[in-house]
Amino acid sequence: MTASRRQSLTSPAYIMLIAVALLVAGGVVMVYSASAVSDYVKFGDSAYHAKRQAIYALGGIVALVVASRWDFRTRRKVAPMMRPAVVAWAVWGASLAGLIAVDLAGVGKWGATRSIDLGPVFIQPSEFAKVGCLMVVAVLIVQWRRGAISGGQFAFRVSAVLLPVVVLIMLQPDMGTTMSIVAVTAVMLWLGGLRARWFAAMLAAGLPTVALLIWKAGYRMERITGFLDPWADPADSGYQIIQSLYAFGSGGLFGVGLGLSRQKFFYLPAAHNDFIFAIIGEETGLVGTLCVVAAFAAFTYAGMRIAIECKDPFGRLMAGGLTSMIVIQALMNMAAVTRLMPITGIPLPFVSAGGSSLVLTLASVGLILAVSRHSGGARVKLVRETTSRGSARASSGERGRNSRSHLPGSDSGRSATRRGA
Amino acid sequence: MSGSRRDRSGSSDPAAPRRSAPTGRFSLLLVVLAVGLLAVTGQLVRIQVIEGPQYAEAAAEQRTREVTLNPERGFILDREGEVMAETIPARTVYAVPAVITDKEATARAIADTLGGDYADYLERISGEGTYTYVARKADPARAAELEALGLTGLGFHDDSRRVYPSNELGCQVLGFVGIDDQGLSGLELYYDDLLAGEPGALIGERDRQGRPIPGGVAFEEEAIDGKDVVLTIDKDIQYQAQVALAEAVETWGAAAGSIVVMDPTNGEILAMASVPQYNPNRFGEADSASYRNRPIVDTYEPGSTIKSLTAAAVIDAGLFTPDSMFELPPSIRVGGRTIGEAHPRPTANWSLTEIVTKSSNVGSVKLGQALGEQGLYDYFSRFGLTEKTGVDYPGEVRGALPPVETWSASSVATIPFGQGISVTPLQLARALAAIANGGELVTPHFLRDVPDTPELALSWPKERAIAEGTAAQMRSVLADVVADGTGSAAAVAGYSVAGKTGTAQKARTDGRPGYAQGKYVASFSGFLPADDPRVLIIVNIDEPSGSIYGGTVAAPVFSRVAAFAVEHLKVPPGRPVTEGSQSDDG
Repeated sequence: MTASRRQSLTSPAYIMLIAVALLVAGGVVMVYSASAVSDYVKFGDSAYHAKRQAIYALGGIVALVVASRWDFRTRRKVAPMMRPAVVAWAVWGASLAGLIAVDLAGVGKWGATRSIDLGPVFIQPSEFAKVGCLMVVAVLIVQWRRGAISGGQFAFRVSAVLLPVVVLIMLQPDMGTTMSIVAVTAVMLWLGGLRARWFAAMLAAGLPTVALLIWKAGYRMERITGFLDPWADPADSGYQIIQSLYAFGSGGLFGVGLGLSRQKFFYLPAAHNDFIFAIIGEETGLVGTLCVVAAFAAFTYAGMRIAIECKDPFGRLMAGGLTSMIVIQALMNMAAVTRLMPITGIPLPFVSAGGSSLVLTLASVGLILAVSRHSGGARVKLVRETTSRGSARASSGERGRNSRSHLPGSDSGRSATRRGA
Repeated sequence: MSGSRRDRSGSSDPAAPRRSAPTGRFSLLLVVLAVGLLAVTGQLVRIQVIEGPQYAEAAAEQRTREVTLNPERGFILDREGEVMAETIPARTVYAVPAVITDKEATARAIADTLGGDYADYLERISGEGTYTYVARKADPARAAELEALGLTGLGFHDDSRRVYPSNELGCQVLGFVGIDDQGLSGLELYYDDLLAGEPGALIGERDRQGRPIPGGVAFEEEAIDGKDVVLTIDKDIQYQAQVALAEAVETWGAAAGSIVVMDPTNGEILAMASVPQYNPNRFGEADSASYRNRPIVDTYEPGSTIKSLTAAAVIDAGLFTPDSMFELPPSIRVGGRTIGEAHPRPTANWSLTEIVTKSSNVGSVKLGQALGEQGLYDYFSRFGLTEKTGVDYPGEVRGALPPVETWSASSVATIPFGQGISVTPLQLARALAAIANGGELVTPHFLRDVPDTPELALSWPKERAIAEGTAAQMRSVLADVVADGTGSAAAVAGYSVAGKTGTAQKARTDGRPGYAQGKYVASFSGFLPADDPRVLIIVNIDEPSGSIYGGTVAAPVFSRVAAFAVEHLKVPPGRPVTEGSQSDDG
């Protein structure tokens, strides 16, 4: 955060923070609006979800701040436990354990078991698994690119990392998360420089598997038919998407007004989580939905710029991957509720009600900001070796790194650098 | 673009050689994601702006429910203000099957509280519909019990239910209403416009479970309650008439029966009953034959009863007086038909009065021949036998009196004693009332008053049928029938009664001409007090067994009901009467 304060309003980190802040704040408001009626009926408390969402948002902000302070460039000798490889494998391992726990003692909802009940909170290990897989794959790509492991070892390890996670998540079952993990891994491999023909090969192997998974589960097939022609079965397989379209259509250009949604009166199921975008569309109209799209566009731009500007290969991959992960989920959600693709049950990042999702997404944003902050490559080593470069840096190495991190920025970024130096 | 920036900071970027992947792919990914966001933008424009209005309309239609606000149906009261039909509060229970998860438990709970069949309820609430009735017009206490269980997907709203507190009393007259309180039969049907009122509407936005959406569009048009109607029926006389009739039908093993009690001076119907009867509160369980209000919707050949009209006609035409004498052979041959008496006798010299009191067929033929075909038809028309009475009741029929041109050679002989002509009991009551009230044909009616609408002027037309003098002469002739003729069983202590028995054969119903063997309608028609009639009663017993004679089967019913009616109505006795001797029935 200290870093952001010093940056100009057009620096990527700032753009990202503003976009995320707007999405999260708007999300809390919309979760309240969308869930107030059903919460009042179900729990006798119209703010049941809104209060939780606000608390999760606060927790997410803490996670964001903590994550943004992680200097992934740390070398073995300085802080062995904070090295990317250690952190990545730890997150991955913990999430794997969590997924196993879900299968053993999970809490079910809508025919799928996705959470572990930890007293006051439910935790969805699959959310951790997404970030864990992404980080491990980034570590492996760096090792492979550096020549530390061979192509074969790389392929084997990536498979070994993904397979147990995917299998466990499909057991829940959670097609949406599985799809986003697979998609994000593909994006990571692409960003990591994997040749195009490998993607063709993977696609050839993957498509029949996906088709089989869809064909084997009736409800997935239903989601496809419901997508293709919702009006063929408006009371059942087409119900959700029709109600979603009704919400968007009711909103028109300027919306029916904040809090005045009619579709949230039990017509649109999951109005406060998976379908919150439709309620936004109904209450704030095209103006509101385009604001959301614009916020994600700004987020995408900022995330990718942070990645591109990062000199550290791991940081660059992590920033690009996490940005893609969040935006892909947003796209899948928005495309599904606007009937551009079948419904997969993916929440809208930052906005939809959901604890683990919100906290993990904000933590991911923290990691991206960490990349922004520490984008100067192996700074630690440099700082340690050339203490003469600045007295300020000597007294506070972290602040020095912050200022250096935005070297590639705009003019104001450069002036910040000068001030820091 | 990143290249130039890199150059700018190149001097302080020793990590550059460590770059492991080209940034081009990052830029490409940014473009791909941007395209995705653009696609969403395009789709949003499509579904919110281009197709938006149609979705908005469908959504509005889906949540807008119009609830009909049922008006309270007006009460039906008897002439003394006693309730004959009322509307009481009820609760209607409906369900939103789509939101009921545990169908079995819900159906079980409904069956346990409201009663009824579990499987039937389960069937109703199965499926994914958004609205279905569970029970309409349920008992409010039981519905409250069910409501207290707080089951998901069940809704309740106020309703009302038609109740006939005296059950069978006046059932055919009152009729009944359907599930939506619409009149289906009887006066409930005839006066539906008055009773029903105007339904209101509550148009409002509802959530998926049918609850109103707070702040949603709502429009309410209040229902206008129906008006109470006061009938000419007297509940007490109705009760006596109905019980006496039912007992007679049972005693004589008859197929059916009917009774009309009317005020001859103005046509007000004091009681009307038919057997078999039914309970209008549970009309669905009854045989629809019991719905028939026989005095208005059934015709029969009146037989001897009609002789009083024939006699009145010849007197009114100035052909004879009650004392005119006739030589009557044992039988008479007209148009190839031989007509004899019910009880054979030798040739006799009888007065016109005796022809009526002894119910002579041969005498009636002579009277008819004296009138001639056209004269007979005209007089019977003036007595209203060729038209409906105009009673305020749905589905009235009229009997058959064919035009003169179609008469056979014997018609002029048989019609005067009631064969080859049919009437409804109410037509006969109206004709007889003209004799009773001094010669005026009244309009029989049930409606006495609509208290809520004082401006509604009720008019029941009258027209003159016969001269007042004729009527007076006929009253004394008919008084003799009861005093010392065939109708002595109709006597009422303290009152002079005028009347005429009837024992009519029933026409075959198999399509062939002629009369059904052994099937008769035994009847008595009369009024009292004979000199100033206030109560007129027609009793018909259809297909009695044991005895077939009106004087035996129907006259006692007349006596019992008439005695009660004059006492109840506080009719003063007229001139003192002497007990007449028993006489044969004809």
